[in-house]
Amino acid sequence: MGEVVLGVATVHAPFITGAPQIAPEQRGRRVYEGFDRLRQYVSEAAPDVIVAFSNEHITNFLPTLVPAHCVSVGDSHPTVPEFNLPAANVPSDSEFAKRLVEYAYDNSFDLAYSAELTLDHGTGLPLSFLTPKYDIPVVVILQNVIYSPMPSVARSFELGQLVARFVREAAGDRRVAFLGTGGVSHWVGNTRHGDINIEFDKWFLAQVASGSYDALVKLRQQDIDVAGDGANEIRNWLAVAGACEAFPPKVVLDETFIPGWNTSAYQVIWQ
Amino acid sequence: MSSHEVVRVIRDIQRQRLFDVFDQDRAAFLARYNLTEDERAAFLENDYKALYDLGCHPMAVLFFSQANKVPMAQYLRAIGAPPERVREFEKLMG
Repeated sequence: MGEVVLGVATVHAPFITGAPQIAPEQRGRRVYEGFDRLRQYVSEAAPDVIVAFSNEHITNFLPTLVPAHCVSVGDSHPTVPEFNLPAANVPSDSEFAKRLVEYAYDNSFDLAYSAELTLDHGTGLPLSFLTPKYDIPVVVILQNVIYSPMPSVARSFELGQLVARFVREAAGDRRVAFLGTGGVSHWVGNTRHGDINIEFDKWFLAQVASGSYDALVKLRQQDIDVAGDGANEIRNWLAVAGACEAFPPKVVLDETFIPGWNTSAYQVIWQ
Repeated sequence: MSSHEVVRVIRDIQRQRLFDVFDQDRAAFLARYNLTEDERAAFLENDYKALYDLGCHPMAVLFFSQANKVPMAQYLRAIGAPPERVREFEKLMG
């Protein structure tokens, strides 16, 4: 039987690496210290594979063909060297990934998959801090949070639950950690770029920290829209919460609104 | 209107690191894509407002401005962001 050993959710704002100098110094430092703590948690959990719920930023998909959830099934996947991030080739666990897709099909969950996914900062930024040697296999599940319409938050939560069941029932004896990236409120590229919804952010973090996700899984698209297009990334957090619902959450980083980085910086673990 | 094709151009420029090829001969590069005349003109003139108004995904328009090394404040001014937001980014990013 496989085992879920850790859940991690973290901000992935690109200026964390792309423009570190524009954040207030002490607050920026606390974010990097948060990533240090996450790396320590991952190291101590010693996972055989990390399942990363993440999203892309017009790197792979066009509006002409948009999967709701797409699993990386290649032997490895390249990262985009953007925002001062390295060009890395992230090893995967293709056997695990393909068995996951089969398991999902057998359990009424139709996942898309691809052997050619390229990982932008949405995945590459957190991994550069959590596994800087890129020595832990990572299976990425990209969720569509860019093009409307998008899968429901409830579906993302169910996806996390499904993958955790797969780990326990059909993933051999692997130790598996989950990672969710992005969020919370922010606007990107439009006339509200740089704005955030602090009230939403604080409410969201409090809900996650409570370990009770009932209010979050009921969020509809119009409820998320008040926090900006970037807030759609909370689907990645909800997937980790679903995967780790048996574990209590712990807030590792709580920095509401960092000017210049255009988001709040939150990090949570489940173990 | 083919805003999907506009997004395709920007994705290809960004993700295949083709900005130099694009910038060397924009007309030739754009000829590979099924664009309207308005869209083609917007690319040729770095008209972010036009791309934005034509329905291109705002994230893609932002990426195109970044490929052109346009400061954030200048980009926000171009697409019609409120003056206070433009000033905020001028102050933050110089």
